[in-house]
Amino acid sequence: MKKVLIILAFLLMNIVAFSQTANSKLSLELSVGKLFSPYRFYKNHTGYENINLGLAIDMTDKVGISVSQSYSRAYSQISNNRILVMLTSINPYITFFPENKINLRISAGTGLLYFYTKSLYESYPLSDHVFGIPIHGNIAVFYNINDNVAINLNFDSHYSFLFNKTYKLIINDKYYFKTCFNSVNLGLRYRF
Amino acid sequence: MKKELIFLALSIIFVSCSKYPEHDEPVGDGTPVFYTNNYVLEEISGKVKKDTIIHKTYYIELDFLGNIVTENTYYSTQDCSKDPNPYCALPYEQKYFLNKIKKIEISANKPYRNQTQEIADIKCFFRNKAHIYNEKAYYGEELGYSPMHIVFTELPDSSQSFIFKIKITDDNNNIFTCLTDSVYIEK
Repeated sequence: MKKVLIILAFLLMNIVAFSQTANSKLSLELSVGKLFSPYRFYKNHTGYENINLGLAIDMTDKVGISVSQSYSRAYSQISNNRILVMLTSINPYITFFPENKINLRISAGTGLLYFYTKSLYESYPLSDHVFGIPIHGNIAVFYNINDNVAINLNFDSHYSFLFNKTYKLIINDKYYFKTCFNSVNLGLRYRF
Repeated sequence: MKKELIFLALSIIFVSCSKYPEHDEPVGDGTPVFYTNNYVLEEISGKVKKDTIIHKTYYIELDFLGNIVTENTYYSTQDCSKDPNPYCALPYEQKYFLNKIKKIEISANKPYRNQTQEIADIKCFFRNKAHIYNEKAYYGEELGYSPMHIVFTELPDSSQSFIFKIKITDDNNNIFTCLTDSVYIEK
């Protein structure tokens, strides 16, 4: 975990340094929305809030790279289980129609998925930390209010390959070890 | 280049999420699939198979009831009404109990052996997912699949009717108790 954080910090520093030399624009994005868990092992979990914080650097007018961190929660009434899903990812992107008031951005990348799962039965508490490698895709639509501020609408999906099991999981199947979460967010972007 | 990148991004986003999980046993057409869900224990119940039984064939069948904590959603959400296969059979759930056993105490309602009511020597047979019972020392073991069989290794002092009280303590100090029906045990 420590190593991964060091690598991510190192990458972030490099991106920032590169962006300054390449005369690129840095922007900060914050969006909130809802998580959906419609597929696979967690499909009976109802998604709650999703918060996404991102740092994007335009290398050129159309191409750039973003680092994003998202937090979300989901709960299953059937199993009385709550999960906290945290995704850290680095995503190269392409912006379409950069000269227009409305832009479209498509990005794909990878990073680290962490989730904390907790059974809420008090008589026998069970909890676990689960890690995975996600394939992350994002489609964002921006409406530029002015040169610096834009409203963004994000459609986000990550398909993750999990490393470890929750509890003593005897469901030894691929259905669990590859899982999928989607989210829809609305927020703001600020360009420095 | 742009087209390739768009294609790659869309492929990742719309990547198929469907993979088939493994079930507990190989099965054929029309045979229900067995799959496992994990539970935590809420209640136990002890059953005896017959009213009268000779000691060496006597055992208590201990059933577990509880709350689901992890759900195998692939099988638990299957619906035969949407399946075109006429032999479609709904999957059969096997409940696996995660509570780890700290202590099992059994006592009779009257002196069983050497004028004591406590059953000193028992053997626990845990069921596996293939419905085979294996004897194991219970301390630190998960309850596993329901039911569990408990066998008394010692004979009663005399042939008579007994009601047994079973008490299970788990590693979180939860206590579960139950009484069996009356059974006449012949030496």
